[in-house]
Amino acid sequence: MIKEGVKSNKKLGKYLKQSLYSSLNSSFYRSFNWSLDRYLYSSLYNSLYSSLAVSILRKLRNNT
Amino acid sequence: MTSGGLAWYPTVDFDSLVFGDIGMIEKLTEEQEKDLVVWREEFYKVGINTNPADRESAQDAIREMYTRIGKEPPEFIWGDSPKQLLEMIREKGGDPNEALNNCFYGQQECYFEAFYLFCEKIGVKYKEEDSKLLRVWEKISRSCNWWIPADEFCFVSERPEIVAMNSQMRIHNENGPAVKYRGGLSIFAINGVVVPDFVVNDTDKITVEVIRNESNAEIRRIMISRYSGGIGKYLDDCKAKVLDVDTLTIPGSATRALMEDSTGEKWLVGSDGSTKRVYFMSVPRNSTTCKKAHNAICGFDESRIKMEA
Repeated sequence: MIKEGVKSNKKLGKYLKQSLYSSLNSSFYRSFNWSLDRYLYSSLYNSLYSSLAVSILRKLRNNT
Repeated sequence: MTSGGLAWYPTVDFDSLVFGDIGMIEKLTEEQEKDLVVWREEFYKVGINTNPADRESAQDAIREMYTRIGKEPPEFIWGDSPKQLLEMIREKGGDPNEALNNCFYGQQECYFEAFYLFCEKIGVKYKEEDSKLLRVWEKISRSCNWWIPADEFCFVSERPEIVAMNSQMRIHNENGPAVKYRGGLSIFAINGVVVPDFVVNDTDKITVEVIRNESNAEIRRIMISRYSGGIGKYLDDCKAKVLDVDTLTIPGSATRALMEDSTGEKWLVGSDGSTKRVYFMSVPRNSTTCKKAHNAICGFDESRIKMEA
């Protein structure tokens, strides 16, 4: 039984991040042509994306 | 972003399309191209920052998040690592597994803000509220590491004390942890591949049997490259088979051999005629002759080397 105050706040993730993604994309998708969109995505999103968080997550899951 | 969704590409809510007042952007100007490089560098530094967290900024931003979803601001509990956060959650009667399904990565997910903020910088118009919220996420990335929101508490981690990267911006350290938190959590990695601790700090434990039992091909190759005594000794110890032997017809070239270990990995073994140094080149597993293996790593037919020599 998880104590009340320590229960995860799921609303924060669903509402504040995923809905923001969706809304931001709505604005920018029609602002770029496809190749520029891919170029920016690859130069910033993919290029800065690190699997570090996933590696840490995997390690923690194995230990919990 | 919640765990498990780290690499997903966001979908578009076409029903809520808002048309900005800019036209279609076809390409970046020269100035914007330069900005892009500076921008990427700036956020790269955010991602690998090892300074102590800016607790006040992080708490301000997280409080705002709670307010936006109609919750009272939480009590903040700081730890030295994500691992320590889980221990604190357990001590307080929470479930660490549940927490891992609802955590955020702070500086380690700053690529999200880097991308969307740059788009805004070059002219994309977001809804005013979205733009403000994006900056709250940015503020968190710039001020702390992982954070795990609960109903009444928010568990927030300090940044790591070590983040070692290679020139390709991948976590990498051949002599110690690539990432180390003060709170007792380390990640060992070679060129972005996370490996068991002993592959870096206790290479005597890399034995033929350990290599044979490793199911991940990338980790197996790294283990072999770090085998005590070198790859030559490994090939001896695992009784690698010689599949082919030949000599390039270039004047002065030495004999070479194609070898295969018990896991199916193959190497082209050659030597420098002048220094006598032996080289072990990892080659595709479908190589059947020295020539084919050499062509595969050169990317062209080796007969051209003969013609141009």
